[in-house]
Amino acid sequence: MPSIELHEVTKRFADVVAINNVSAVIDDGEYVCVLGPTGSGKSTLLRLISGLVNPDGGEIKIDGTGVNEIPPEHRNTALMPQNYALFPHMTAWENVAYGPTSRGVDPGEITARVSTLLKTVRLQDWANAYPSQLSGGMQQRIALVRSLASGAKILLLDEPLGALDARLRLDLRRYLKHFAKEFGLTVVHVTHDQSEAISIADRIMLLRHGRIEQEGTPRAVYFTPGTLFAASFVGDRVLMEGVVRAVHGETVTVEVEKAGEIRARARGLREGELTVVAVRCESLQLAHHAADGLNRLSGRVAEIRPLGSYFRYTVELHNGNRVYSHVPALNALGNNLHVGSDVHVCFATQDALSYKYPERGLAKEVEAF
Amino acid sequence: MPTVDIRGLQKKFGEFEAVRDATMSIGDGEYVSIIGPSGCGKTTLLRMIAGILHQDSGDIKFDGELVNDKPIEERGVGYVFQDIALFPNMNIWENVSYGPRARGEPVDHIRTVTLEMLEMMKLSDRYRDPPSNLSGGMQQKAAVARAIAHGSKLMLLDEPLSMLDAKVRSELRFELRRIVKDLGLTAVHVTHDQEEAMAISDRIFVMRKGVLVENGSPSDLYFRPTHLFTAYFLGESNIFTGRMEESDEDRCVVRIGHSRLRAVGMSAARESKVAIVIRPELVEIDGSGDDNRIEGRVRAKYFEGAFVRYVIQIGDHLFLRVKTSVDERELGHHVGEQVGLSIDRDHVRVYEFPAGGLNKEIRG
Repeated sequence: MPSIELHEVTKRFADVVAINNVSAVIDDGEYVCVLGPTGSGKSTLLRLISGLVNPDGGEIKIDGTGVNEIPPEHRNTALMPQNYALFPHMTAWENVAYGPTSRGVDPGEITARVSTLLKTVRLQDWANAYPSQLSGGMQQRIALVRSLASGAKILLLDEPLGALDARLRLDLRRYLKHFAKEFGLTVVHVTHDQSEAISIADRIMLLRHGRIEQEGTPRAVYFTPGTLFAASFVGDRVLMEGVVRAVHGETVTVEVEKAGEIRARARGLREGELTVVAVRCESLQLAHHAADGLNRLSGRVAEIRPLGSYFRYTVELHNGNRVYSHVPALNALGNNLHVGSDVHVCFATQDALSYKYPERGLAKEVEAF
Repeated sequence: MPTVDIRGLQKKFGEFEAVRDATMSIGDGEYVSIIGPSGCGKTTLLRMIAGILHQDSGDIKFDGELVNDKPIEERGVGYVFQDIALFPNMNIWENVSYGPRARGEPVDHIRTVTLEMLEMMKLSDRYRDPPSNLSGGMQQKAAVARAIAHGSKLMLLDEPLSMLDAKVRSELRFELRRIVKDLGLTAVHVTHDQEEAMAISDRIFVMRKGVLVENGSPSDLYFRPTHLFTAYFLGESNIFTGRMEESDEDRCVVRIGHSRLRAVGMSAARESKVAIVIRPELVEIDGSGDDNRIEGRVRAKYFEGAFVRYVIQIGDHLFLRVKTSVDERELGHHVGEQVGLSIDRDHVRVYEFPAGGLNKEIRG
């Protein structure tokens, strides 16, 4: 039963607190994605679990046993680092067999294990190929089973798809998940790519400045981000500043300067307070005539970019601000909107989340670059 | 006002043909990207345009003038690398003003140009910082600012966003396009990220195994690709093997397994083997279109944020991936449910079956 528990774990590097009092439980067989921007501490978290670095405070348990004093090789974890490198002078087979061989595992056992692993990733016919003869995706799969050859059931992945072509990355997402479930692995997968985390994870832990900002199912994190930072980091959202004019239980009325009033879901706001309203770009519908019961802002189409499965419409509102509406390709191909068209930007109250205006300013709070 | 004309460019590394007979014309003020899988030759092509590499044969002209024998520093190009290459010992101001200073331009001019660039990149309050104080995205913006301040009108960008976080990458691409357009620059941008290419460029060149396969606007290439490889590489596709039933210039009917589909026009012999491409987001569940109506059963369902992806089984052996938008309330169809699909015939595209087989054609 390979589960992982962290109790108030802290890790500092000189003056920097990389992991700040983090507590978390990862269940047996769970696939968890640790998501966050560069420098949020996600790789450190992985290295703490694997034992490559030791915590300054707190305790880490694997299968219910404290492992703070246990070296990496005895933790039942397999870490695949970001820059995994296959041994170029060894065949696929030798690469996978390397770990157990150097640990003196019985040769018969090694043969059985390696051939099973190669079959699992459908590379049994490539056992004698050298890394240079394999495609990027194949190399990735060899690296994956190489890290599992020691028999570990906890797989720690640090940006496992980061080095691959965008096209290949998409193909391998589903493969990773499928692979983990088939093997009954517990996986902690670190990534900065929110769409990757959403597609793969059973549960997402969003990390920021060494703390867990939010955790939950992909659906929960995507639709109801708990903080403004989470809202700006997960999914594509338009952020609008305004003032709370009225509070009605679960919703608020917000005045957006020179654009009118909108209704949004409330998050502990008071009348007169500054707020930021976040709306997912795909919830912003464009219409010549606004439907009843929806929020409505008016503007003019400034740019249309086809991005494949959806089109991105830039609408300049009458107050000068720009909002971005993501329209599914099927709708965009027939909607008769052009650059210069006057449109209403409509969205449901349900899809608008209002947050307290951040003390250090909006730009700083959601700063991505 | 740089236009770029390339004729018959070739480059070999030993026996390996990195670029074969590349020909392209890039208009003044155009933002062009070159996309393709790793190792397709796109970076080699860009380096030849820059003058970092010299071609074995073929011509490169800027504004109609041959630059074959000009070294990089005389070509007047700005080059932005994948790895951010700021001078670590200089602050942001010194980095951005480096070009004009090195040319000994008047102090006032240097100040104006540098300030303008920093403001455009929203970096003016960070001008005193050393690069290491800035995030990766800010550093890459400073690198772009430095290249532009250098005075070049032709920007060559080699995977400029690929080292950045996904979130930063998706925001910076629009900013990069805006800046290039505002300044009236010509840009050639190499990337393996097809969505980035769609977002940023006026025109996309698709490259594969050293060859420029086709080019066109993002919309044309996405919705009406001429080549099967483009349909595979740009965006996502269901690709099936089928047979031609009735063929005509304007319209045809193809068969996949036991399903007959009306498709766009394509001439091929009756019963010949064809490749059929359907984009997952162009299939409608419960749609009203009557070109093609198909019954299927939901076999799998994945939540992917803005989209839900279904795998739908049609008949015994046919599996169709379908992408559709959902929101929090509308949870879509459940696994096991019987659904009706409709597909417009314009969205069923038919290609000659590749001689070497499907896999070889698309994955190489």
